Amino acid sequence: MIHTLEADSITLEFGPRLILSDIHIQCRTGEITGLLGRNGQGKTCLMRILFGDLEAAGRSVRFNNIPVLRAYKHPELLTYLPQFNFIPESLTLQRIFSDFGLEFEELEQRFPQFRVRQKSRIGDLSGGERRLISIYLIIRSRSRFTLLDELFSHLMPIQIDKIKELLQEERANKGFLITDHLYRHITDISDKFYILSGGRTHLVKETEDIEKLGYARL
Amino acid sequence: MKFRKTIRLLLTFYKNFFFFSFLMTLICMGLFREYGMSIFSTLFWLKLSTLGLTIVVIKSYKNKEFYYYQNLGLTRTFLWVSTLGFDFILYLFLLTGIHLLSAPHGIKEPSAAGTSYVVAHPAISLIHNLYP
Repeated sequence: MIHTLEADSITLEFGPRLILSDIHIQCRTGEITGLLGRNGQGKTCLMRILFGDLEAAGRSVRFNNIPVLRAYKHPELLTYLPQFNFIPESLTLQRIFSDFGLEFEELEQRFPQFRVRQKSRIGDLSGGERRLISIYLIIRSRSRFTLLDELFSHLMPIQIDKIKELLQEERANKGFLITDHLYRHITDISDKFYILSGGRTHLVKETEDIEKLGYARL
Repeated sequence: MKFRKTIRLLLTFYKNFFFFSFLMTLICMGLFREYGMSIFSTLFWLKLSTLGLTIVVIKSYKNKEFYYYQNLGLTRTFLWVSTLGFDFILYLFLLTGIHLLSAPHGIKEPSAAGTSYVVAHPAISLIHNLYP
């Protein structure tokens, strides 16, 4: 069965500045949906509104047409990877994987640099390693949809390829909404993508739209 | 299993401010032992304000970590209510304990003549009768 996550009628203002005004976005399980946009256009705000973590003047967020305003109360529906490290530094990898109900051995197989490091604290890892662990956990989390903000930042090219492989595998189980400025990776793996510009979402039909909407020079 | 996991996550969150909070509790216990009921309301508000300060500090320095708990189904409100609630109940429990232990013959009550006399607390009397 295909599930949908849909959002529209979102209005977000910061003082006199209108950030989001005419939003329509739809994600489905089994699909990867990309979200591109220049800095300050409201990509992170939109993700936080979907997650229910940021209040907006108006918003309609629906899972299978059922409104869910605070999706963060339902991790079985939605999980969210913020663009910063969010895992408490004192926790060991073993503990983190136990919290998320995941097998550490699977991480070891995919990323051998973590072999025999389950007792390491997350605070003892390098910035890139921490980011990799956060990304892996959220992608593999048992939810119907997952929001991934600045997915490829701080990762080495070889790790980016492995994360893309992981996404392709996991899409069978869930739907993804991803954003990053490394837009070629986003366009590579996305089934469809939106550009956020002037407070509106534009569903991109042709790659030339990326240039027309002022996001990048092709 | 889910209950155990929730308790473990709450303990992880509580560890962020346990030492500071417990230190405050110990200080308040010392003051309460010294000055008795006359200082109770001051200590009550002092503890509440330190809990308020805890919220401000944790929100400033650990704000990003809330996403860890949220991705596991624990909301910010649940985390705060559970840990601060437990901490405050522990505080009241310890204060009551110190009050009972520091008044071996009961609680001092002022008399009409202005002098104080001791009313034996039932629990203390019972202990004294059992172990004279």
